[in-house]
Amino acid sequence: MAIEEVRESSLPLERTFSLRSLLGARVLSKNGKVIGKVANVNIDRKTMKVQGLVIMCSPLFKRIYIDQRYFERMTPESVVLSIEPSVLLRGKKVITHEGQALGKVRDVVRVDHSNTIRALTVKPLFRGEFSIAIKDIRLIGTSVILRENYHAPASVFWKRKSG
Amino acid sequence: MLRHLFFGKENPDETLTSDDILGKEVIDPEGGFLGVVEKIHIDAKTVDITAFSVDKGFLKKGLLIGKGYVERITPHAVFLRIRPVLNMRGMKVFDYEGRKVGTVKQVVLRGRKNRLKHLVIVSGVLRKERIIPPELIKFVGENIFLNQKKGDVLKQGRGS
Repeated sequence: MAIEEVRESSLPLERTFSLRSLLGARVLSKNGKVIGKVANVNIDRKTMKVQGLVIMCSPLFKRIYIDQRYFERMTPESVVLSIEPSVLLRGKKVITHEGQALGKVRDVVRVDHSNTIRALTVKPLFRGEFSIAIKDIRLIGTSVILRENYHAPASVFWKRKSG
Repeated sequence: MLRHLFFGKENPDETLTSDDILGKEVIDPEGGFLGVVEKIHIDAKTVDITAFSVDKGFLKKGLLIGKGYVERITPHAVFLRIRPVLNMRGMKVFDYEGRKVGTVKQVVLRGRKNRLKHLVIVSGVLRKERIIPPELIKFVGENIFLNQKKGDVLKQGRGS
């Protein structure tokens, strides 16, 4: 059945898509990682514009909220982000410049709620966790590679985390 | 204690032994672990190292990496200066808008170099094979993004 349009300055109907079709759409990071599926679309009450998406990350049913400023492209089938969500760094391997594995990322310390990383908390196997500042990180890719001049604090090799 | 017999100006303290290299992890520039060094290949005439065999794990096909692709050897790992294109096998292929086009079934190289000739992908329920030339690839990360829309890609991508 044809839909009669009643509008003034907004986009023509054929250039829009319904929010319902977005639910369940695949969400991809900048690197092509499949993050999960759209669970909810959040709208600003005043401006009635899309503010962000709640994404259900498949394996553990964990949900993350992504601000619309981090969207790059959006179709009813998928949403491509312009970032690699830093919260997904948990579990990544951390290696030194020389290739020595220090442990895995346990937590990501961010600037407020943004995607900017302030530090990473790393948990070595059988040892206490320690923190690595963003200035000591050379590259975040498949693993987190540290800068050449970074030396893991010696105390972490025998001290347990206090408090 | 070994006694050194060197003909030229070689410094024994700056050399590595095969024991220093064998069993080391091989890491690409993104920090991806490719496997461990299994063998060192030596030119029979010049007695120079030419390549390293990488064991990628149980039931996985090994990889032979030329010396020129090695960036540095550290006490813990061998770092490569390239990301082997052969690792694109099994990656998902998405179009410009994030629609899934298929999965990489085969990576065809130009000669024996780390240069891609084309990808063979399988798409759809019928797993139809299609060829994706490198010009269509926009970005390779965890998966592959193409620079065109799915409809255009499927029109161009010839069946193999």
